[in-house]
Amino acid sequence: MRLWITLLIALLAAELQAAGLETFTLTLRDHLFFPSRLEVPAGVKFKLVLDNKDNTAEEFDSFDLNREKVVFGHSQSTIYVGPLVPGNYEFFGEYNSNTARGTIVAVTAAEEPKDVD
Amino acid sequence: MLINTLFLFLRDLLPLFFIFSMLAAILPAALLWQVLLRGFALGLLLGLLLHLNAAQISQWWDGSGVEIIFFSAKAALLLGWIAFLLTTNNFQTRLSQWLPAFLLMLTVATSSFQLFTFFSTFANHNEGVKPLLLGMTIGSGMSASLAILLYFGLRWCRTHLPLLVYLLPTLFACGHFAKSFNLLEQAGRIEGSALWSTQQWLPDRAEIAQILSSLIGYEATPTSWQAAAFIVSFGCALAIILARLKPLTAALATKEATV
Repeated sequence: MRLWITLLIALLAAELQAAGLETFTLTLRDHLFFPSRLEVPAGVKFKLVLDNKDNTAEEFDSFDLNREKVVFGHSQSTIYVGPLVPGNYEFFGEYNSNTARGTIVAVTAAEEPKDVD
Repeated sequence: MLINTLFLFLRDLLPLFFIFSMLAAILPAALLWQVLLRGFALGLLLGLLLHLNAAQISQWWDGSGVEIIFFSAKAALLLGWIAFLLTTNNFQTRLSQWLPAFLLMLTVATSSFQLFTFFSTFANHNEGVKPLLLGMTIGSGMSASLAILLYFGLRWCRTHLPLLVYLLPTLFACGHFAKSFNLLEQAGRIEGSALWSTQQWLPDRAEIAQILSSLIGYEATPTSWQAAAFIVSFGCALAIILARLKPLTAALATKEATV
């Protein structure tokens, strides 16, 4: 019972916090991720919007980030990531892993976040 | 692509094979076929319904519809198993006959939903069908082999270590429930940071880690939520098993008599 009450409180707290997070977008087109290298700030939680422009579904998967999410054709999905320690985090599309690949780079505040295609 | 398809099958198909082996080791043979039929039929139907409406469902609750449904399914699996532990005597009651089917149905529904999504993209793969077919064959073969080994291991335990026959499904249900908290974190519903990391010894991308993940919900970097959920749920389930060890062991003897 205590676990459920704690979970409910945490859900409400997380809901309030999620509203003010920085947002980054990864676009999937022709089974390729754009940008393929995305720089994000280290140490803070952020919103990652997955925008699938292809006709078919794709599963965003990352062992490093501990995230997996199916994004259906011509639709968007959002996942929450972090806080991350500085470093490289690989991701790929589960259904087209030879082409749909990329890296999220968590950088410290001193470095300027930028997207590279 | 081959390795990815193999991983996908180990992740989605193996839990289904595992729960089937565990139920087969516990249930009387006559009841097992009923459970199989009900569990697979209802599970496939539910998985198909989810798949057909997946695009809409994924937009529910601010885009976390699939995560919340999957989390609920894992919570229901755990509650169903606990109810099974609390009520099982000799499989004469309707409840003890339907609960295993309910557990199988939940696992079939979540697994088949993932596999239906994979198969729906099959025709559009631009990387060739051969590695996909090979990955599917190896993944299915590995899943079936591991499930057969598990079944014979548990059959041996039925007479020598009956506690283990109930302990392994408990680890399965609690592990999958705890692992599903990751879905709530991914959906931004709760916040948790990794308690420890075993990435150096057994990274999540390793085949053994995938197998352990399917069996007991292994996670190389579990969060505080996952650890707490596992400890609380496993503690409760273990207490029930120890308190009801006599009738639970007697239920295994029902199987011996029937077989």
